[in-house]
Amino acid sequence: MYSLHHQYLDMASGFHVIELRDERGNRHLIQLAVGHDSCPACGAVHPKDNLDNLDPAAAVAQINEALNTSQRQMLNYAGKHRLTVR
Amino acid sequence: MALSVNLAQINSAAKGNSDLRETLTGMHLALQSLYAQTGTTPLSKIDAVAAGFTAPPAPSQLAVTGANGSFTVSITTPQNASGAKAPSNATNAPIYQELSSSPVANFVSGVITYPVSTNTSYVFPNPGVTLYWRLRSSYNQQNWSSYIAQPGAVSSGLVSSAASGSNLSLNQSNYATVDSVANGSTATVRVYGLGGVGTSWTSILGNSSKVIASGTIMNVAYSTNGFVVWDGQKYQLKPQLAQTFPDTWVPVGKVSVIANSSGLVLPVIHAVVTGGAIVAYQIINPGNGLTAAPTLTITDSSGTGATATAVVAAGAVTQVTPGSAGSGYSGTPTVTASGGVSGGVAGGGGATGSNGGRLYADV
Repeated sequence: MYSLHHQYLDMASGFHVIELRDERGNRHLIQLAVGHDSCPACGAVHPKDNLDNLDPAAAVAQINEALNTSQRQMLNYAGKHRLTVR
Repeated sequence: MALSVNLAQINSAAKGNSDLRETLTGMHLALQSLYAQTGTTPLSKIDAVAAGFTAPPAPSQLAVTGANGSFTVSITTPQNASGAKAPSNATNAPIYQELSSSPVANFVSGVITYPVSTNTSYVFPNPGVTLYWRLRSSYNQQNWSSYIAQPGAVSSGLVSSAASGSNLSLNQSNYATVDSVANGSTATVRVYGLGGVGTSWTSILGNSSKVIASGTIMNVAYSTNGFVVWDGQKYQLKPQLAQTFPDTWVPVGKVSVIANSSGLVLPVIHAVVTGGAIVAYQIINPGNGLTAAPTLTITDSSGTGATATAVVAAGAVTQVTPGSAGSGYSGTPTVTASGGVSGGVAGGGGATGSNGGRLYADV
């Protein structure tokens, strides 16, 4: 099942990067855009104006659930047919 | 000449003069020894007639173009030239061409001289280079015409992906899908593989491949075009992508993030009919979330020919400009607005460019 592996804020790109991993090493990245792409004039990354409305935990939960739901369905299929999971 | 004199001749010439004979004999033997040691032979007199001067041909014409990372050279010989220079070389004698290039206009450095040939066309692959070109011609490779130069510098340009096949050493393919879905007031861009959302995808560069994690990019503003690249650690979403970018970046795809249907409200517009013609329009509802002028279609049970154009500002229709007034309209023609979204179709975001396995440069 997927779970939070690590997260960080990348100031250069303005992304809150959240990495999910499962026990087989599969990865999925959630990237919350908390900044605009760098300004052509000054080169800086400016923050978005809706940061107070962002809920990273909810985003992780939502994506995690979606990923794990599909994975559960596939594992159930494997179990039903006695398949080895790699 | 010395070796043509043998000892008998010396003896005859110095007859009665032993001192002279000994001197000449000594010189003869010394020269013989010297020739034996050095392996040289005496010079022979040459009485051949000097070769006549062969004038160089009239200048050929040089045309160099650059594209797709190559220079294409075309040489027109005098006999094939048109205009004031023709006809020259009426006998169609072979003309040797010496082509050279340099990164500087005066050819004082970096000069490359290509092998002399009678060929009149060449293709030199040399991507990303700007060079000056010149040419001189000869009938015998000894007497050359003066140089003629290609006007100005020529750039070979970069090799486009379309000019090469898939999966060549410098070409890149990927098997990612990039799309976007509406997520309330913002859009979510998804990157995934052949297995569907949440599955990794494979990038192939030349003969090597790597598996890259799927991704979900959230809080993306609507109405923006995005170029998605993988920078080795995470995805980048750029409104514009430079022609050159770091080698470690992997182009993934292009996506248009447009408002979904729930945020898009098409305008409601009524037509004002006078004497069977539509003379004005009344904006009942200006709409919302419009990113382009909607198309207005006017239908009626009897009238025809009327046209009108909507003007959009800040996501809503602010004005309807009448075109043709038409004729034969009843009192209640219907004005139907459609479209109103730029960069795609209404109903959710969607990829506008498929990442069909080619290098990004084609986008």
